[in-house]
Amino acid sequence: MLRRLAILLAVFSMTLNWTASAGAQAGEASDSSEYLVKAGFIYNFAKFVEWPSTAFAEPDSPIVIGVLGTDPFGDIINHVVEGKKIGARGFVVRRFKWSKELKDSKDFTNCRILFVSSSEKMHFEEVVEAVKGLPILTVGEAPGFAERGGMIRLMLEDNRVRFEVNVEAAHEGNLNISSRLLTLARIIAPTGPVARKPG
Amino acid sequence: MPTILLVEDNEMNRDMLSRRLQRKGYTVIAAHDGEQGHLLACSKSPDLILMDISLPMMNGWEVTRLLKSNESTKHIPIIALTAHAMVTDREKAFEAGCDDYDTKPIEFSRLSEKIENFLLAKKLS
Amino acid sequence: MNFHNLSIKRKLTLITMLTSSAALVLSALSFLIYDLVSFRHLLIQDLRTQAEIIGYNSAGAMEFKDVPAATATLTALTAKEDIVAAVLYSVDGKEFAHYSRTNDAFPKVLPPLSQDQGYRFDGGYLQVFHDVTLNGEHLGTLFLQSDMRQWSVRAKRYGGILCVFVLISGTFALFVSSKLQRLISRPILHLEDSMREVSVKKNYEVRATKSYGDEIGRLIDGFNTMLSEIQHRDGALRSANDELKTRTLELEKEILHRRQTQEELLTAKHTAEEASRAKSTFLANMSHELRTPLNAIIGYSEMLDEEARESGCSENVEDLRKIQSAGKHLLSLINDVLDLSKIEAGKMGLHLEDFEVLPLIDEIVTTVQPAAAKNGNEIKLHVSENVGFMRADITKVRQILFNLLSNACKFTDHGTITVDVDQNDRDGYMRFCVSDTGIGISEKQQQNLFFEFSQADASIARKYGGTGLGLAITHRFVQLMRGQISVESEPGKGSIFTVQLPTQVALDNTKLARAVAANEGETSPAGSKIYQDTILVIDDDASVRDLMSRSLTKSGFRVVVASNGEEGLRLAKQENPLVITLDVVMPEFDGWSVLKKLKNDPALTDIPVIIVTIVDNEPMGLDLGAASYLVKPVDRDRLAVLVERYRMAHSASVNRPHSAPSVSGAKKPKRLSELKSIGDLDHADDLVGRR
Repeated sequence: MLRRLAILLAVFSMTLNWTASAGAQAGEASDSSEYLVKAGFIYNFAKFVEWPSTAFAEPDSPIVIGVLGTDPFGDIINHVVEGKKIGARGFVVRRFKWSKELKDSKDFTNCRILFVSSSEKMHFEEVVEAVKGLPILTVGEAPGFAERGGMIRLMLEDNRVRFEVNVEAAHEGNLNISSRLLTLARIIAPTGPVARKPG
Repeated sequence: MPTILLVEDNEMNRDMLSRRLQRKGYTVIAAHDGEQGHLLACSKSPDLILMDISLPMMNGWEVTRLLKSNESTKHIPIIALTAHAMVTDREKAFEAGCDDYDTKPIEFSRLSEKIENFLLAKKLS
Repeated sequence: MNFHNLSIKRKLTLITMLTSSAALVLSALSFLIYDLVSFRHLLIQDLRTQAEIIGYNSAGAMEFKDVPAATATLTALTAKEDIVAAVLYSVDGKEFAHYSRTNDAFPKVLPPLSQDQGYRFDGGYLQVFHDVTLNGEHLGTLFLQSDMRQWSVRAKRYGGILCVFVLISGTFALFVSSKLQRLISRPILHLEDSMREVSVKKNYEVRATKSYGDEIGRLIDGFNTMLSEIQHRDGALRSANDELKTRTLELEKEILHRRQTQEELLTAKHTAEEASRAKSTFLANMSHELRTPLNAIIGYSEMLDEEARESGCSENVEDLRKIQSAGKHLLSLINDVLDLSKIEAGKMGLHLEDFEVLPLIDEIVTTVQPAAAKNGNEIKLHVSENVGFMRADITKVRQILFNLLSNACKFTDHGTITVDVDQNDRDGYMRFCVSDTGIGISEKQQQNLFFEFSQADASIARKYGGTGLGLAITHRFVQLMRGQISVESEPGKGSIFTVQLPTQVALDNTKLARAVAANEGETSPAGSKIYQDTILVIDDDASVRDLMSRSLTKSGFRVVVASNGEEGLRLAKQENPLVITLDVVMPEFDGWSVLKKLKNDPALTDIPVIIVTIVDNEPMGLDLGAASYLVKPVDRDRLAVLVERYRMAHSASVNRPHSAPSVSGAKKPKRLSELKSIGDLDHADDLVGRR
């Protein structure tokens, strides 16, 4: 509880600072501030990630952000990416519910950024497996997300949103994460027998 | 009687000549030196002067010159008696004003002829 | 210290050193400057690069608003000592993250950029600005500030090195140049030493050694050559000097000797003159002394004779006549003896005058008439038409003729005495011929006829009367007048005496003083014009002309003067002088050329030319045709003697019909002492003094 309060305060102050850059609406729910920031982060991640050329059909094909599972963002993420472009690409947000059908249809594979909600923490490996080798930036927030194969895990630390990066996983997806981002992140080496490639 | 003034310093010559002239009929006044000769010529006014050249006191030329430059005596004919026959003496004689000259030793006849000529001429003029 | 007066050594050293140092410094400086400038650029670039990198790396932090991360990035700049501050400004210009090395103040707000390059200098710091962008989005600005310490350090270091380097190089250059300048200076100094040696010690044997073949080497060569020349000339000068000394000594000796001779001559001359004077005085006195008492004797006896005849004492007359006769005889003896003595003593002079011959002959004939009548002789006189004037000593001519006639009368009895006179104009002589039909003269007698004191004379004199000296005197008189006397006779048949005298008798040179009487003035009181011999004096110096003129006039000549060669030639032609004196040192007309002209002109060539000048070049003068050569100052007596000699020679050549070509054309006597007698010239020696 106290922890939550602290976070709220931090986020609130940050929100004040971030009004212009984030472009977020003022007067949103204080809860949503965290996710505003996180949404912002996700949008920013796109700036620091390099998808392979095959990832997009057209130069102006939008970057699809998929939200898998319970959407903690709500409209926030839509608002954050609305009208924004990275290069020529705009953003599209889609939501998904994890099911066997989804997994089979691979419908979600046209996402380029996939936010795996903590609600799906039972299926992380499945999801990871499903997107393995695909140029999809998996972002989560549940602890262990990165260790379990997720690429970036957002978390709250010292009233600040931090993130962890699993470079291995990114490499597997042929995604190149800028070192500039990496310096800001904590690098996670995947648990398991897979050895860490020297980065 | 014409008077002849004889100016001769040698005694013997003077004597000889005077006597011979006197015998010729002339009156002879004798002077024994130039000064005396000059004096006598001026004072006595002779008709002719026989002037020996080598005289003491004043030599014959001098006397002749003086007499010839003097108005009262310049008309008196002077015959110079010179011991030398040199042309110079002769010239000097004429230069001094002598009317004639004769050489010593005196050839009396020659001299008297000259004297006569002068006196004659004088008489005629 | 005046640079100009430094030694060559120093100059060269300094020059070399300074130039090399200057070059060094300049090049070093330029390198330094270039280096520092480029280093600065480098630093700027470096900082900008830094900014770029930092900016790039900070993009993420700025994007994610990660201040610590950004600060951490900036803090990495600790490694760069020169960066004193680094600030990230967000887009609004507010500070996002910062780093400050020394916690110095740094701008909290982004300062305005004044330069487009993205950097600027502010207060000794370099400030770089870099826009942080991400995907084209301007996130903020990075500000880096550097104190450029590297640059300062570098500048200082390099400057120091440069100084040291320059110093060392300078020293080295100094050292090397001071060694190398020897190449130049040593030969020069050596030359200088040599020169000093020459000028101070006057040692002309010194030679400088040539070290190299450059200009200095050539200079040294020149110097050596010059010295050789000097040495040579010095030597020549010395020997010339020595020669001069010797010559001078010789000359002095010669002069001394000549002076001595001159003095001796003078003394001799004076002695001779005195002797001469003594002789003259004696003869004059004797003449007077002897004649005076004799005149008395004759005079008185004449007088007594007259008186006796007048008074009738005829018995005394005879005695008186005897006295007279003896006296007269004595007188004529005395006269003859005195005459001869005079002639012997050389005191018999000629008193020349122009006279008409005919009246003289008449007079003499008249005088002898009684003597002729006494012996019953008849005198016939033939005087040819052309007989006119002659110039001679009338007394002597009279005496000569009287002597001949009286002889003829004496030695002829009831015969005829003929006198023939004729004048030869072509040869210039007068001829008197006295012939008689008397007793004649034998061959033997003829030999001694004209000489005194021969036996024949004495006996004849006793027999026929007379002094026996008459012919001797006649002969001498004829000789004196440069005439000739000859006799043709046959005993019993008669005799013919022929006397030839020049119509213009010339004086002999012993009677120079008496020449005044004969020759002074243009006309005598008697009215006849006396011709004088003319001497032409050519000299540009007026005082010389005056002097010569006076001196020669005193000697009885007529003098014409010319002041230059042209005038001289003109006058020579016009006057036809006896002698020309010529000065050879004259302006306009070189005397030598005048001499040549005179000798080349046929009308003038025979005129003897006496060169009178200060220059002693006798051989040349004589070679060119001068008759004599006198060196100024001229001895008047000597000149007069010379001129007289020429006059005599001239008249002798003119008047002697049988003579050889004129004397002036024959061998020219060079010295008075070498003079051979032309007629009676023994007297010449007496006058000048025997050598």
